[in-house]
Amino acid sequence: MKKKRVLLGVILGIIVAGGLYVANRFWIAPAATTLSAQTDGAYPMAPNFKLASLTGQTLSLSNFRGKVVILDFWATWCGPCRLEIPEFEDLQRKYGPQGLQVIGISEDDSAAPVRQFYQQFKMNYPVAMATDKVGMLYGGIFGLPTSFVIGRDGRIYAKHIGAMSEGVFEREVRQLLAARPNQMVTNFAPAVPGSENISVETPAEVNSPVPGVDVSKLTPTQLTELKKTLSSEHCACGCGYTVMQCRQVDGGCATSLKMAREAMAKLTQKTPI
Amino acid sequence: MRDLSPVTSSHRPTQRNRPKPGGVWGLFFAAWLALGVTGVPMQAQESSPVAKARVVLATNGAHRGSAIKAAVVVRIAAGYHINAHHPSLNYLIPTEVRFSPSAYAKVMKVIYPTGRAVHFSFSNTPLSVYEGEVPIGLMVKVGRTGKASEIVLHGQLSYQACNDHACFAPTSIPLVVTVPVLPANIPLKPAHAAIFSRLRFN
Repeated sequence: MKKKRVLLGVILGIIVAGGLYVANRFWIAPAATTLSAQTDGAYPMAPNFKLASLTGQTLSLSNFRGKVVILDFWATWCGPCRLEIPEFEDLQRKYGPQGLQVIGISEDDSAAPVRQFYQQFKMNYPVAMATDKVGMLYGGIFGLPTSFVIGRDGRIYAKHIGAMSEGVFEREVRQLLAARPNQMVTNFAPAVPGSENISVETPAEVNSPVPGVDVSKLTPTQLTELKKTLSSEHCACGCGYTVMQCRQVDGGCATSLKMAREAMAKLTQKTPI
Repeated sequence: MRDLSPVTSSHRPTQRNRPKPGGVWGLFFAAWLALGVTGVPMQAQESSPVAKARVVLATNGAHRGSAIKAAVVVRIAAGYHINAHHPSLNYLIPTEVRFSPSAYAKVMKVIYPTGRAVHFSFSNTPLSVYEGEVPIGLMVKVGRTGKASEIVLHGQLSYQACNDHACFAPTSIPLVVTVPVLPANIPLKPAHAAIFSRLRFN
């Protein structure tokens, strides 16, 4: 009787171990592989833009395809942003010949202080004035400085909010410079653990009557209903506007964006597109 | 000039191959992700106002033809600062309070407190900033005319907030001051003494 119990225990143990092996072999391990592959896919393509630079030339991201780009959203009134500028100038000098291009996008209200700063600090890379739409294409600029590190293949590999040391950018840029044009860097290691999530928006979201929400598939009736809902609801960000107004005046407000997207989801659940 | 070239949905991170965990293994997997073992960034990006403001009166109301003290009490989130009204560097955006006059009252004077000199990693010199709770004084003149039992003034607080390594865009929040108008024979009672003891109106 005792022997039988021991045998049963051994058989049960073998079954459990086998089950664990099978689960790992066919479910857990593929999940890990998929996740690794997905990490590669999590580097979105940097949205293209065309802006007039301070020197009057057209600044288009597509002109720098094949180069490693640091896209820096900054402002002259932002102390931490000013701290980074000499570091970017240094990186441009050091790695420009190898294919690095720093681009500055100023969030100042007017070009005058930016132009003055540009000349005073003898900036050695192009700077253009931001538009709301450019910021939104890059997932909304919630704090300054916000910098994107873009590879030779046009993908965004890192996003940094707040001033970073030159070494952080240098480590990331060197990895990306080592790649061939159009080659995805599969083993990219961000210099800062837990770098920001990278999300970009589509022109359909950016050019929407409800900025940030793609309403292109809604019927006219649904769109009217969505606008009505968003115009009757107050934004929880504390701005004092309705969600609709907040989306229109402050495209960078994550609270109104979330509320608008939730309202859109609710609407499409109620009356599917 | 503002041409935004098309960005197709294929440029967005794909969700197609995301594993669909379920049951016990799903729990393990979720815990694994939540612990950040995979290195997948798990940070949420939410914006919340760095500063909140309310307006209080030094008395329970005002008499017609008199001036009363009021204060905009600004509460700044921990870890952040806003520039003082007279920032120490000329490129910094000052904190400002503005009210539109009404037919029956107007803000005659705004009294800004002196900022605290704080040293930040991004500046060689200390900066004059407001942190924590800061009262900004207002002298409100109530007109002699009018019959309403209360007067409402609208204004706004403009500020630009930063922490030690990042800044938010300049923003403003709406302000409303409601002044109950009391008959001249009713004496005014003091209010919010602790706040007004921190302000110098002279």
